[in-house]
Amino acid sequence: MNTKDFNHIIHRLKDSLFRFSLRIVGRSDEAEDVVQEVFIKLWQKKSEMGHIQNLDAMLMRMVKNLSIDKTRSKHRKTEEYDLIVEQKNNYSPSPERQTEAKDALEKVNMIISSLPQKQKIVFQLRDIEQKTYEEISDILNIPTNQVKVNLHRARKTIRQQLLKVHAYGL
Amino acid sequence: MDYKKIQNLLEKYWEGNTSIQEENILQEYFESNMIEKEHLPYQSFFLFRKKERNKKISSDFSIVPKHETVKTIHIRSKKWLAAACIIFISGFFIWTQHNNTEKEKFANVIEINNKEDAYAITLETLRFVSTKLNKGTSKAAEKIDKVKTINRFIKQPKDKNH
Repeated sequence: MNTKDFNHIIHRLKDSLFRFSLRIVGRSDEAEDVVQEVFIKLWQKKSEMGHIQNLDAMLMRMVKNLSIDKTRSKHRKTEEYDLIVEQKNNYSPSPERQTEAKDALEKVNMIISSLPQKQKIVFQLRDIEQKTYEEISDILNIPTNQVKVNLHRARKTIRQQLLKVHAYGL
Repeated sequence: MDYKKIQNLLEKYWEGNTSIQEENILQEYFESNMIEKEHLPYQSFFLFRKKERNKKISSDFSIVPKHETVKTIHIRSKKWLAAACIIFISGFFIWTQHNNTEKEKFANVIEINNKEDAYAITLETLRFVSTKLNKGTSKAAEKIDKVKTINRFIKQPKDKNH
């Protein structure tokens, strides 16, 4: 792997690795540190990279492990969720509507954050990163049926909570 | 959009049985302004998915660990500062001590301005030195006598010619 290849990998994967780490650690600065550490490790082991079959999965796995280590190492407060609603509407929404939308997204974030770790990770990889079941299975090193089970449970919880929020505003 | 189709896809989605393409159809539907009332509880969720997908790492992201470097330099400079302080304080302490010793050395020195006094003191000093020298000479003479006495007991080697 030369510098050009390395830069290409950084450019292609930095954002998805960052989002994945952020879902686990909950803080942007820590997620960036994780991504940085992973790329440094990759550069240090560049001579061994020729033998790696699925580099993307390997990097995702490294990010997952490092992020989990970070959450275990200390108690951290989950960063306040910065919400900006991007709508395709041509009109400018009123401040009330903006606040409502922000609150709604914040509630969704809270629902997902409260999922069990494995479900949260599977959800992130599928719903945000749009990975196939096989890719998720490869990244997490678990069978495909386990990926499906975790995703099903995560979505079931999300649906129940969304209906509750809509009905009672909880 | 076809309500029935969307409804079916949604059910499939919640069961975890949709393909990525089918999920994209749902995503488009929820991003549009033509959402059925029954689907409104899920709108924020699909908008959340969109928002999350657009999240990016900061533009100044670099694999050079900038925080670490700053931290290291900071720590290093602190160490240097501490070392410099210790050296400075130690130096000052040693210098002060040395100064005091020098002062103490010359604390008993009397300045003599009078010629007669100077002569008397010099004479007294010379007498003192002379006494010490005499004592030394007599001790040396005693030692020489002892050596001579010992030599008497040591047999002289016989002359080979005799």
